[in-house]
Amino acid sequence: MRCMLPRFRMMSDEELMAAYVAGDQRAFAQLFERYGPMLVRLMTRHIRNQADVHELVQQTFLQLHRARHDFDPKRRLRPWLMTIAFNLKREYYRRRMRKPEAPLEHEPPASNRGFDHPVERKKAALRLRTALGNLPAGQREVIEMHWFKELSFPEVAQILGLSVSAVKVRAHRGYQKLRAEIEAVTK
Amino acid sequence: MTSSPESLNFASLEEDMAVVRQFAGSEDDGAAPLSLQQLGLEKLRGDIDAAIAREQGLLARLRSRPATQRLAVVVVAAATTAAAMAMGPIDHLRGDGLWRAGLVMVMVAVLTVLACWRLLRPLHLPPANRWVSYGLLAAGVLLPFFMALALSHDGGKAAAAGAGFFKQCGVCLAFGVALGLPVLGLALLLRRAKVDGAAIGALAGVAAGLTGYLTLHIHCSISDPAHVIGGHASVLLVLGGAAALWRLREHR
Repeated sequence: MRCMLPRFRMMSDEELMAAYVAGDQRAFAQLFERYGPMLVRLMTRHIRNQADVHELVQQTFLQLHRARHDFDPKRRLRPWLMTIAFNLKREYYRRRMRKPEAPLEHEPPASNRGFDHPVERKKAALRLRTALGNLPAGQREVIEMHWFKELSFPEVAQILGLSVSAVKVRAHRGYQKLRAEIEAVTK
Repeated sequence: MTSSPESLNFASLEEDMAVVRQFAGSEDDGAAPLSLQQLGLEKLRGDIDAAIAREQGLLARLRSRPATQRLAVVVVAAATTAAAMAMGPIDHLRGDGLWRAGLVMVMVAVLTVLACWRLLRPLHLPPANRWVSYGLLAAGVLLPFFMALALSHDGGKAAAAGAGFFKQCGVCLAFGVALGLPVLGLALLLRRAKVDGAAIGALAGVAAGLTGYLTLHIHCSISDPAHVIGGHASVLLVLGGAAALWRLREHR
């Protein structure tokens, strides 16, 4: 079901959440449109089983519903929701007791910037994704949240329950480990 | 680490991470956004709507309350259970010295509240340190044993000998488990997240077991350390172990 009302598209995430808490189901539909695809991609990055991905995203929105009265409208919704998603993902890994694998079977983004030859582009994507997948979970999470999901360092710190300095240290260490791969790809 | 985060050349770092994002990062980069149908999200949306539609009734309304209110519900249930026992004869407590009884109650109450808080902690908070859970588990399980061995009791009855000892222990164990089970059920039902492991399950059992233990401490006039360990403290092991096994089975 798509949300057709333009005014919902104009509303901020926090306004939508307030409307949902007040009982407006259309606000939830708009929140799903904004965050559903993003959360599916976030989970798909390291989980191959599509049924598990859907289960985790379903749980995330269910937890959003259950925790709706806990949401402070003065704070941003995005890190709040991302915290729920990451906590669920972390519990999923803990239950499966396995490390996330790089999604080798996934196609790289359909963008032609930088590389003309699609095979070269695929090799570069595979190489970087593998390197990213091999990072310790804490460093990978910071890199994904800050550089891929464009959350600020303070927001990432809030989600992970760390200080901003600790987040920057993890980002720095992850970057150091990726440098050799970045240089090899951009040679 | 040869350089600190503050001494990074951020210009090159941002350029390098832009390369990583381009190849391994956001799928939105430069590509047209896929529709909900293409991502298979129509079904997901339907499943989410169905799951939310099932959130009806008193339990669902309680689960959506803030963590402090849910905690209060469980703690009140536990306290009511223990307080009901205080309506009965408690001369053995007076003989011990009410300070001992007070000390036990305070320590058990604090541990129960902490364990329940860990159980009912909302998912939108950053992850708690797992060692906190393990510490609470250890403290909860060890406290009654410590109470039995370290605090000598002079005011109560001695335990029976031989087969009678095991019968007395069995009665108290069954009584304590029966009184703790509703608290265990309530704590697990009010927890929002479906995902939790054996350790959290055990914590729920220990929190309920502390209720059973406190109830027995108030009601049972036998203060022999062997009986307190065998019949009272073992309630925590039974409830904690049963809850942990149940969570392990759920995750298979």
